Amino acid sequence: MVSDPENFAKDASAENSAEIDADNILACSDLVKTRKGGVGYRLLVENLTIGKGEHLALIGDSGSGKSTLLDMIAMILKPDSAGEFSFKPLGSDKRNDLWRIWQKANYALFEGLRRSELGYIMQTGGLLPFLTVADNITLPADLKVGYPKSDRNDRFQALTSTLGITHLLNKLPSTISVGERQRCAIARALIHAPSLVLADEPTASLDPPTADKVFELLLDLCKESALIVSTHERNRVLTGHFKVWQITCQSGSDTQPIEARISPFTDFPKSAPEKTPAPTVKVDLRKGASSFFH
Amino acid sequence: MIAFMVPMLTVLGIKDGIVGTLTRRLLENPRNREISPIGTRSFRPDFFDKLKTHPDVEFLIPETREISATINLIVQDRPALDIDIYSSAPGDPLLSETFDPQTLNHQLGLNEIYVSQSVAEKLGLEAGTELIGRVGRTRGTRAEYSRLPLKVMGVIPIHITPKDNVFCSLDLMRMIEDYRSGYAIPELGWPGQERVEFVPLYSRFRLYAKDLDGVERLRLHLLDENVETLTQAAQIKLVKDLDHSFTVVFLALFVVVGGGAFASAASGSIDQVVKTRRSLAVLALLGISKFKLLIFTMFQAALTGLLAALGAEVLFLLLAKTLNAYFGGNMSAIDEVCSLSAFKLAAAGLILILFMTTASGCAYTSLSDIEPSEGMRDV
Repeated sequence: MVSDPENFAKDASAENSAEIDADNILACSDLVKTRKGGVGYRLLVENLTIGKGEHLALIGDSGSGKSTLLDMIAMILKPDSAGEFSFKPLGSDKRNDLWRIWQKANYALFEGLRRSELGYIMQTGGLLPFLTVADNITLPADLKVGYPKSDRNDRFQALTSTLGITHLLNKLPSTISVGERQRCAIARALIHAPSLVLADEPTASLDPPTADKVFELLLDLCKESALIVSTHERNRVLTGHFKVWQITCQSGSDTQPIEARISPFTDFPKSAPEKTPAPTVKVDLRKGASSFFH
Repeated sequence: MIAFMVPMLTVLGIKDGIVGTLTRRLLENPRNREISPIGTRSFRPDFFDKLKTHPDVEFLIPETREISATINLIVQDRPALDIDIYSSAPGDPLLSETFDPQTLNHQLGLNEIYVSQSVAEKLGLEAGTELIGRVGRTRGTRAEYSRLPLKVMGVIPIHITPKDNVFCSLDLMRMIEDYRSGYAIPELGWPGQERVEFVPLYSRFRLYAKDLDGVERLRLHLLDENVETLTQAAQIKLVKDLDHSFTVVFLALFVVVGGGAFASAASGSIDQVVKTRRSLAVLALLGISKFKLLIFTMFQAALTGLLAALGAEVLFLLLAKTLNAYFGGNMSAIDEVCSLSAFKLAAAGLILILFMTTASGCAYTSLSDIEPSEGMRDV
């Protein structure tokens, strides 16, 4: 884990120039995505990696391309080109060449990786309106081939208890609050013990106290899984618990496309915030735990 | 969806009910399939034996000379009536619509007759009524009459035989002709000259083709045999034109109303897919394949289609029942004003389900071309 933000920026720069570690869950270099419309937009990811248990925050203004990058990492958006773009699930020796899979249009492989190794938390939860909260949460575990039922049940108990949503399990998403939906979405993203958890502006529609709790939960629950959170609320991630990267946009001329690049965040305030204490509640996903919310 | 489906079923129901029955009856009216010879001819029994083997012949029965084919019917307290008689036999198409199969297959005895409705009304007859038949002849200058007891076996409705007619067995008809020719009829106890064995000759016949198209073929066949005939060619053309017109009109109505129903079904299905686009994108994100999502979408549409079809068909059956109850009394000639067979109802439902399933499948296929990432955020 990174000790403090400024040191991390240096670490990240060093890491940026280094060879991609074979143990990284995700590795990408020279990843490019362009979008048409207006003068156009081009996102370039020169070098980005994330390993087991690492927490990475993507910051940037609205429209800078955070969601675009998350969608490419989530294997639901095809990049235009890539040097390295690979994914290695936890506990696996095999590194999947995502760019090659895109080129071969082997969507079944992506579907399998998404089912087993990916958790995705959307801005508004993204719960399926026709399923109860319990069914929404257990769906990824039920879809993951070979996932033991006992693990699913233990994890379900632990997550729902920790997230304080046991009283919501039989309700439909439309009948619960936005904050509650977001906690359910976190449970759904983690139920199947994915290698990588992606959270796209998970606190954008939450009030500040609830947003704080959601971040605490994410950090605490993603001990093994790698976590990438996109947010435009930079103060919430400048706590020392995240590697912080930012997407910056350079406006071109009237005819040149907007160029967006991702780089380690270095523009820390002069009096850097002290690292806030990590969440103190111990969460054991196998045996259940007390809740943040009760 | 149901709002479009019910009118479509009603249009089909009326086509099959009121119009279908009317057209079918016109097509099936035996009078339109009747062929009778023109002029005075003498036909031997072997002519009839040969003609009966023609594939277009449904029913054929000889008739005696028109001049001798009358009978005087006498009922107590009523004025006697001279009535034209015709021969009949089991399977007579003129009777098929009126009588049950058992009556239709009954071979009339010498004392049994059918009477037309007009005769029944004039003489106060009904099935089972007994009366007297009187046949007269002139021998020299002397008028002679013989009687026989008769029993009415049935009354033929006015739309089948609008005139005053009696139908009896061919044997009785021939006996009446023989009696009028001066012969004795021992079977009936009528006096006269002793009959010698001879081959009977008939001057007329009633011939019915199996269908309207057979009429023309039989006319040409008989023309080859030098028998000129009278057919209902004009009526047949009218009936065929009417059938064609009804078919065209209802086809047009079906296209308009049915088109509306199916367009509504298609747009409903597409709308449903668009509405669930975000959910479908989330399911894709969770790793469910496009094929499974396509099946899921189509299954959902099929289920909606099934419910819509069932709802529409229940409403249609209620409407049809109401229409039939309302018009039933006034239109007794029509079995049902609005009706659809179970097969057609099932077919309509199945077509709707297939249409909705296909539409949703197409809608999903076109939407799934869009990146799942767009689907998650666009809606």
